[in-house]
Amino acid sequence: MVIDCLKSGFYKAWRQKRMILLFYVFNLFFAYLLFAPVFYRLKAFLGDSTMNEILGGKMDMGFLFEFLHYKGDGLFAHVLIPVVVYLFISLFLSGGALTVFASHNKGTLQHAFWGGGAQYFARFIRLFFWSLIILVALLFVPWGLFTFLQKAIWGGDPSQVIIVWGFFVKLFVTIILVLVYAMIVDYARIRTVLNDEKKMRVMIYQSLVFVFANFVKTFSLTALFFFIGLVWLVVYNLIADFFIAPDALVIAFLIVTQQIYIIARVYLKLGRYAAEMDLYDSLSFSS
Amino acid sequence: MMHTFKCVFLLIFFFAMGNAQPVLFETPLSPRIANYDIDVRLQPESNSLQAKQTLYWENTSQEDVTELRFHMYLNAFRNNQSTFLQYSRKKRDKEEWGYIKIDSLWDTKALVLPDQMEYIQPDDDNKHDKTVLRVPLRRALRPGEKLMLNFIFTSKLPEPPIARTGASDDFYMVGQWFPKIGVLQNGEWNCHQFHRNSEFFADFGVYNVRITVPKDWIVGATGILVEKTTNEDGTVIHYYHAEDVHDFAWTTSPNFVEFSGEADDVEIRVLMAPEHRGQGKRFLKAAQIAVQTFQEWYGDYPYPNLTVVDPKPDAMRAGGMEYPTLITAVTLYGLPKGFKFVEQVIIHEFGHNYWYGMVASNEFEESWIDEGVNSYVESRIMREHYGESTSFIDFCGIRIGETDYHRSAYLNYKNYDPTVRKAWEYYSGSSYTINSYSRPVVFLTTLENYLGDKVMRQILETFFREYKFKHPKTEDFIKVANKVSGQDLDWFFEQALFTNNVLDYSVSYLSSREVKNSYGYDFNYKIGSDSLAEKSSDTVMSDSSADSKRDTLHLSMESDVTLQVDSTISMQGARLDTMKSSEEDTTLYHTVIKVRRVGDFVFPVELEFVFTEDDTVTEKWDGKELWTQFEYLKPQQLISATVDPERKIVLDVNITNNSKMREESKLGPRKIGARLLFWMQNLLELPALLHL
Repeated sequence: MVIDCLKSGFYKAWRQKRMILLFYVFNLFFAYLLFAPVFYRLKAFLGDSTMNEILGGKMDMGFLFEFLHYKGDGLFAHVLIPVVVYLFISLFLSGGALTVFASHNKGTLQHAFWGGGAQYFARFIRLFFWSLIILVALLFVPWGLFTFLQKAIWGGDPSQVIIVWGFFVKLFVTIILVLVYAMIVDYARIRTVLNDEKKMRVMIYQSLVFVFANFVKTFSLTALFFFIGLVWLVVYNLIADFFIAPDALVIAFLIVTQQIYIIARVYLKLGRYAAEMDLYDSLSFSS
Repeated sequence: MMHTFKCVFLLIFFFAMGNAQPVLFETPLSPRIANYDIDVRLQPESNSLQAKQTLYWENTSQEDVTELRFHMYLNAFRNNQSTFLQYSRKKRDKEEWGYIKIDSLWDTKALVLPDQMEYIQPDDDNKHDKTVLRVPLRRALRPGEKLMLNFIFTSKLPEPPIARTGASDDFYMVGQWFPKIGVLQNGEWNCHQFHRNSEFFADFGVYNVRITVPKDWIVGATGILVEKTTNEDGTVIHYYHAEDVHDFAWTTSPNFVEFSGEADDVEIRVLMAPEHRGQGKRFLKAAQIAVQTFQEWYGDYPYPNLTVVDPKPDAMRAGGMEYPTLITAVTLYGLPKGFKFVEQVIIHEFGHNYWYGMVASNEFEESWIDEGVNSYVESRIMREHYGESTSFIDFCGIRIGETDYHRSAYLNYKNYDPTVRKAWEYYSGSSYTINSYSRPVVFLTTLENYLGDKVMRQILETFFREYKFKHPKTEDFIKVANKVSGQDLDWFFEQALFTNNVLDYSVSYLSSREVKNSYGYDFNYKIGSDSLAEKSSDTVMSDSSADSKRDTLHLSMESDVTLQVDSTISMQGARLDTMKSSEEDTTLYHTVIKVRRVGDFVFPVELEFVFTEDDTVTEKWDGKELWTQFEYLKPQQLISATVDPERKIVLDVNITNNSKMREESKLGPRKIGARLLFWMQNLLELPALLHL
């Protein structure tokens, strides 16, 4: 069932090429908002220095430190605001995408997508804020409970072996729990779209019940998508490592590769939405 | 030479009889002014030391001495009113305090007046500070007269360690733990209080130290282990002997994991915390590189051994410290090899056995000599062994070299203080650190690039040879540098050491335009017919014997001050080009480049003007004036102008403004832009990776 949903998710997402493009364009646009102030600071600092040419090769760390020293002030604030805005835009877009998949590709993208996005935007914002309680509760397990246990067993000043391995264990558990949190949010959104639900606290609770009632299947699907994402990241890095020569053509190839990777990531995200919706349908139907 | 001493040591040591002290060096290497015999017993239950000390001291000055002064370093941790801790906000438990107190003091000539001894504060008048003890004498001690002083004292070690001394459970790093006599220089005591930013200064001598610790505890200490004796109470006395050193430190713990090896003829012993045992070989390898390279580059390490201590993880503040023949390093469990600070610290701390240990400069007053010179040498060795751009970090594609690391640190405090200051007089602790470590790395690397690696190495080798077992000052270093280089480098050291001047040169203007006929009114030439090319040709033809000519122009700056500025006009280019011009009608370009000295630091610079791949002009400028101008008439347009094209001047605080291109290259920005945009796209999609 899980593999079938995975296949079907990818297939359904592939049929929504315009939606992939739309997600990609939004990503590119907001990335540009982040990129522009940093880049133009960089350009202004570079002026017409020969450093322009040197940077066509490998990164010059001496230059990087110099740039951050002279022009690094306030960069964080420049980055933070668009990231927050993008988060809310993503909530809008996810409402649209889920509506499209819920309509089983009936109707036009414009109607289903934009209508769905608008219809569920406010609910998804409420859902997001309520879900933060779940996130905090889940993250308390590794960073609160585990830390408390560590202190109880090994004292306030444990061996470095405990600290280092403890950190890796906490990190691993955190990733698992964040995936669980993401599953809960995803299925709450799916349920909201499919049933036109309005009470988001109830949705979170029902999603929680659904996820843990079908934990092996729901988690397997989520973990598969996570794993595929990691594989794509590794493959991208292997390819991108070849593009280091200071040459215009090489840089062009690098840009193309990067954008293909980002499109693949968008495709993966939409595939996940579709697959999870299929899984939800299947499990709800069978139960 | 190197082996002679050690052979003598072995012979004499093994044939030493009865209670006679072992002899390491047949001929003393240093003036043995302050010699100590100490019996110390560790009391782990109270983190304290009970000790009896005999000091053999000689008045080697030409003046009578009416009082003695002692460092009582551990009193820096006595309370929160000490000069060391007065600005510390940390609340300390009882165990965290440390102190030293003299229970009894006497001498065979009954010269000292123990009832009149008092704590003094020569640096800051902080009456609460008790780190310098003044002991008056009943009568003056004459030049050449010797004194044997006996102390019974108690030291309480802070837990956890502060300033590289103290305890942590059953780990002890014992440094600056005994009453240590100051240095008498020109009839005056040089005995400073213990400041947060200061280190140490002392006279050389011979140490015989008997350390009593519980059975099965492992001990590492300055010098060589002479013997171990088991007491009836189950404790063990470890008898250590050291010659021609000016400090004595030791460590003990039942849990050390030992590694041993050798480098040249030096035995290396590594005492690892159990958690870090996996890095024992890494420690050993770094120590071997340090010993071998220092001996090869600068001279013999005369001592037979070196002990490297890895403090247990919760005693990391005991790490990264130098003592004669014993150093402490620092690491983390599982630290990847790409993070080179294990190697960096070991090479650095071993280096202090040269710069501080043997070349015993005053760390209170001129920290740059030991910390700065040593950091430069450490960075040089790191570059040599671990790569120019990977000597600091080489991990997951992130590559940072030591020089870049030090330069970036220097940028943050580039003009707060001159390099040479008393350690407690810097603007801040960070300024002390930067001016003592990173800034000297930056200016000494610049000097290395200016003089050449060979000359720089000779300077340090000579400095070591001439000043080992002495107390050199800054002027001694400059004297050696001038002598060895055959140049007067006062101008460089004056700026680098005694001012806060920053060095910054920039290419501020360039133009390279086609030479066209003149238009408009000109009363000297016919309108529309005379060209600059013809004018140049005439000039060159009148002086055809010169390939190039240096001309002095008077150029007026904005400030209305008229200065003489060197201007170079390439006449050879003009002559050839003009001849071609007449035959082939080649276009000529008039190129003007202006170079500015933006900072106050004056330094001669090389300039590179690229016209084509095959036509690169190299010029030199003494950099003294505020700006200079270069002009050329050539059939090629200028592509770029660069000050210091090989980036030899690491001191330059802005390398980006060192160059200009006539046509801006878009390659770099495009590549960085592509990567930056991609990072931002990923940043936005990061939550999606976790399905958010």
